[in-house]
Amino acid sequence: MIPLRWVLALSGWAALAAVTFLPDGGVLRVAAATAFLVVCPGLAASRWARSAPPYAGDRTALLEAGVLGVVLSLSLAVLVVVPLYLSDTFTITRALVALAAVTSVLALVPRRLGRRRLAPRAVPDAGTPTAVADQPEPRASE
Amino acid sequence: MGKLPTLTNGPMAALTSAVRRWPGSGATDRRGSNRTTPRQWTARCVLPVALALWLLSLRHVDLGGMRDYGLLQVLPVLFWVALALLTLGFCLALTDRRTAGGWFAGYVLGLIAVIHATPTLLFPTLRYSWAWKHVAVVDAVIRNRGTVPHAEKLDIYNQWPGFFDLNAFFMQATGLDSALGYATWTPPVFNAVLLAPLLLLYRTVTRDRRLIWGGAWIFYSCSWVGQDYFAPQAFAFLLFVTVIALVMGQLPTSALYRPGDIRTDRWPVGRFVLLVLVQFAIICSHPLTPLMLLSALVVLSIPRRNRRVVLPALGSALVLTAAWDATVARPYISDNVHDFLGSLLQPDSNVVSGLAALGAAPPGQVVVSWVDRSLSAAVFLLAAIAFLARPWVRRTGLPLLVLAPLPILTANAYGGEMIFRAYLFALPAAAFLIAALLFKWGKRPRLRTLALFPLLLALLGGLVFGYYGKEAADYFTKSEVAAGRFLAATAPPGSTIVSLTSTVPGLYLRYDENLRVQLDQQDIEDRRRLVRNPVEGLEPFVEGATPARPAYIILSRAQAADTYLRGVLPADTMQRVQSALAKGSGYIPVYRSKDAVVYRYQGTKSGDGS
Repeated sequence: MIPLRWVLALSGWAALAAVTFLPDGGVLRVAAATAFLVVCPGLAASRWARSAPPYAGDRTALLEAGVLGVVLSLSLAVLVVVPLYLSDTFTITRALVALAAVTSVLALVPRRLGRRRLAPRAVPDAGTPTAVADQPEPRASE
Repeated sequence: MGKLPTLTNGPMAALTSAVRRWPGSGATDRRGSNRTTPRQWTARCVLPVALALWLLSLRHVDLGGMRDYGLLQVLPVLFWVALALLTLGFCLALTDRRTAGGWFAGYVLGLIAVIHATPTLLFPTLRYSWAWKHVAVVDAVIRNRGTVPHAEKLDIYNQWPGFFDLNAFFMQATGLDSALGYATWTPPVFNAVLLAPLLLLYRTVTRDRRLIWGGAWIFYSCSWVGQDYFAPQAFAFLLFVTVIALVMGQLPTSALYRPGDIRTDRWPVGRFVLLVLVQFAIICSHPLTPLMLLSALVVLSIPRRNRRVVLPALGSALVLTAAWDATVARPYISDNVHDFLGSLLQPDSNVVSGLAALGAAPPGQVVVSWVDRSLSAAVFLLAAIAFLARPWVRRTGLPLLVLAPLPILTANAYGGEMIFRAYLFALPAAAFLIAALLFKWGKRPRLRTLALFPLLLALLGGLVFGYYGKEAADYFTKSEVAAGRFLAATAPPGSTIVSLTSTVPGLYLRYDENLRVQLDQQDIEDRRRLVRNPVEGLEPFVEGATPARPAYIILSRAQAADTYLRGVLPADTMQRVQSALAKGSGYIPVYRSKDAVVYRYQGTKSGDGS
């Protein structure tokens, strides 16, 4: 099975090939370009920047990966195209090459190690009240 | 013990550790949890039934019947039954602490679909004239390969081009002809996408999933201001909520930390780089959202414990905003700096500038205005009560985020829109506070939650007045769209295009080549002259017309509705103008359909010239 990082690294170049060789508005071209622009650069960036380990591997981590995947993809696209347009040097090929290159680099470089890590579990958490189910607010403070 | 003395290590640990889904962890409980109770089955059945009823209700809706109350007066009873059923099902789901997150997601996405996909499914064309304008801006960016010359008032889009450049890039990459296709679906898609950062934000405050989904439901029940169409504001708001969620997640009080995590209260470099990246996208896409972001970060930095996290984010936002405003946006900033300073000295006028001139509005619109204002007041009132009644929320940053838009509200009128934008930016935090107030699982949680059903219905009732109440002017027929396209295709460069209001689909197509005049935005004297004698009133705006650069006057159904709803001009102005032009010399009807007519005027000396 191909690791996700390689899929991300190649996604931009596949989108570039689709944009270059497929007809305007074709289903395959729209799908390839949309999938790349909306998801891939952001997933590669969030993969690179993730603090290790993620929040307990729970649904929050998955949710955050999804949010960052979309939001960072759109933000990276803005970061690439705005300077190109402002400097009158925009072409589709230039913009896609820049985004694909950034995505490849972010996908292939080693992940950053974050500072958020688990404390040694041997340390007892003596004074911590036990969980109160479905009671988000601490009773002591009420 | 190697931990920082933060709130979540002490008494607040209950907040973050309330992760167990039900009391006890014994085998008995787990076995019991596997049985599906009748209440669970009911909650699961209500969702598909409600959605099916909603879709059935949309089959025969007479859009032509919209007047004072917009969609409210034409949607069938079945639609309201479906909405009430959906709310009831959500309440039932809330009463059961074992309800899986997927069902909550289904209910909230169902609510988004019912509220926001209804106009998209019913209307034959793109809804709302400003969405049409933004589609025209994307088209102009592509034609001009970037900065649009001769943009006049729309030059502001050249100086905050992020959203438009992004769409121009997307359209050229996909090879699509127009952004109209996906712009039509922007409201439901945007709201569905916004749900993810909203949940992320709420998860930084609690791990109680019923509270998290309850907050999301309240948000969508109260988000009546309609800033979810194809616009830079919607895009920037999505990014704004994401930035706030990232910052809140990094705070020492964040519920994302598990017991045993070391709370560093510093940014990992990689995450900070991502944060700055999203900030840049906000700052180059929209003039107002960076100010709201700065304001939110300033208030979040007030508690000393937050500063190590918030100050770097505030610093980067400040530097990027200053750099952008001093370079790309400098022309707009320097032209308007005096207005900004003047607004700062008149904060009271900014606060009230968005309120409708109720005296001239039709009776239905008076009701709509009062209902949406009442809903807004209720949201802030409930959030204030939550602040008093739920002390634990004071330790989160949410009360500060509710107050964050206030300084911006008093600083600038933003064309009369500021009060609504301030509400929009305060709403994510306010909605969660309301959820914390309402969804408290004390004694008799089922009875309590079901008792909330009428309140949730009331909030939704307020929403539909604000969101659907003006649809008569936001809806365009196909023949109106055809008239707008005819105008864009046939008007030679240098033409003047005159309309009563801006509610014309395609009015801004090729806005870099033609001049536009909106009669409802003229001085009061000009408007009085127009009402007294339409031909005489039009003269100052069309007197420079020549056969090479004619003037076009477009009159359409939505303009009549807009004139009636807003009361800026007398309700019969369009009929009077149409009658006068039909008799007046030199005005040649060049396009006529059921819902629109276009006249050409090329000066009195040239004959008809048709």
